[in-house]
Amino acid sequence: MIVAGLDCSGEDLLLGLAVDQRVIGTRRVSAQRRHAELLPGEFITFIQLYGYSPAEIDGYAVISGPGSYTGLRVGAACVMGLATPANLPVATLTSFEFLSREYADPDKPLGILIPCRGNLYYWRMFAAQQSAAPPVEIRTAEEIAAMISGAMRIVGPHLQELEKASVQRGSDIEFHQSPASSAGGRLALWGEEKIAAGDIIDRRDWRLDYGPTPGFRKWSKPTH
Amino acid sequence: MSVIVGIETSCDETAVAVVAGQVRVKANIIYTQTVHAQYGGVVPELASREHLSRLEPLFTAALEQAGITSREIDGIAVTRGPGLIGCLLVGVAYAKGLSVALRVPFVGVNHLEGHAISNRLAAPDFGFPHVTLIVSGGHTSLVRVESWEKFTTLGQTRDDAAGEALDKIGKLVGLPYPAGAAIDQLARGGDPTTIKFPRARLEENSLDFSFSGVKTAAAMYLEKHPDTARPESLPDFFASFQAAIVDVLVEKLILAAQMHHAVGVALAGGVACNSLLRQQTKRAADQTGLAYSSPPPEYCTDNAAMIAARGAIELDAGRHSSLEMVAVPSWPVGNFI
Repeated sequence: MIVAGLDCSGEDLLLGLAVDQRVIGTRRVSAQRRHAELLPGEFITFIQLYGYSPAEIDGYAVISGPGSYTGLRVGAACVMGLATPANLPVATLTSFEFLSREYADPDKPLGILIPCRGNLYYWRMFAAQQSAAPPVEIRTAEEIAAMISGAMRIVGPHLQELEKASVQRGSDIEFHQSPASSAGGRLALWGEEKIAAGDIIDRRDWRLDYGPTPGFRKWSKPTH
Repeated sequence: MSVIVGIETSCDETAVAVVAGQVRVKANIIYTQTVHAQYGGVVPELASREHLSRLEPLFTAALEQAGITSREIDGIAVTRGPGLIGCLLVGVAYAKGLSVALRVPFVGVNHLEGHAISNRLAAPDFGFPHVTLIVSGGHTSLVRVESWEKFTTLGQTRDDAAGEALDKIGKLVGLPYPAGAAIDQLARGGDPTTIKFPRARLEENSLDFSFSGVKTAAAMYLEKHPDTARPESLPDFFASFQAAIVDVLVEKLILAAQMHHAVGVALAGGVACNSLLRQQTKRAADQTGLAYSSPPPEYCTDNAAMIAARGAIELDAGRHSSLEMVAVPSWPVGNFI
């Protein structure tokens, strides 16, 4: 099975290609909010580099959020268009599911933060050996800094507040900037696993995981 | 005969259509999002989320209705702008994906040119040049149509769109959004001379519009006369308010046709369903010797048949967009980019 992975949820565009449970290609493109412009062309160039055409793809894996609202929608809509004509399966991974698979350590708690808006972050703290997913919270960098202690892994953008807190408390914290350059390939691989297991989305009613929406202003434009 | 799929997601209607041979509409499916009614207006973020979840079933249904398979599609036409950027992006990204998967070209279409060409679907032989009044909740423009691929803006609103003014005043008296159809219905039983609302004609021979003044006047009238919101008073109120808007629209449409030597006048856009606007435009056209056209309601509201019809002209001429094409929230007619 040939599965292509596409992630538009963050600053960069991640692409990956997995064939029969093996990553054969991975690419990271600095998109800087130009996902809509870059995605289709970069995708074609990428798969052609490995000798494939869009007609040969058997399924798609895509990040379903949370992350940039616009990026998520661009990625999802494009994948939907790619998958529709041949009725190809589409598997999704949430941003937390993807990053926790990438960075889980059985001996350490894992904290994942994803930019939300302004100084706010989607935050999830997985205890070591924890199987149930903890709730998604929305926190400021300062609030997250106040919560970190001991030995743990933190995955997310580079934040000075967290590093400072770590140094002040003498904590043994590993910081990982997400996503890694090779993440696209693993997205494709995990997508292939999900497709093989029949864990695919219903494209006729695809709802992305937008996460909680802080400050989502109720429509209250004055009428005159 | 090329088969083109049209995709429209510029505001709160998700639509997919199949058009063959530029004018033969084989499927025209429109989903009007209802999620906005509780807010009294379109919430852009919610609109784009809705588009994403509706496109796939609409595409499948359109192909089924047209009796074709995806292999028979020769090209994709998608609304590129103007419109709400988050909404446009969804349609454009979907169209690009389809284009890559099907290995067919796609083209970005100007939404307003689509509205103007909706008259071709209703009256393929309508003569040139003619002037089309595109009037909806988001737009009020006068467009000179020299051919089905040559459009020039002659005038447009400087503030509110006509439909927006109707919706906002409707909201003040508790009518559900969008309020246009309910106002039309109420106004039919009222006397348009009851209240004298201002008509903004702007400078001499100006083809621009302004509806913020009449909207404010109506809002202030409601504030000063709260009894107007009672059911028995609404017909006279809305007949007067609607007449103030329609008078200006029709006057300027006819003026534009005369100034620009047009042979006919046409209506397009959601407000083109308004019965008073249709009657008065037809009457004025008859009186001035101009031909008249107005599309049926399914081509007045935002729809994808008009987008497919406009895109088909470009695609049949060998012109298409590149995969790098971006959505354009503000895009005047007449510039194919």
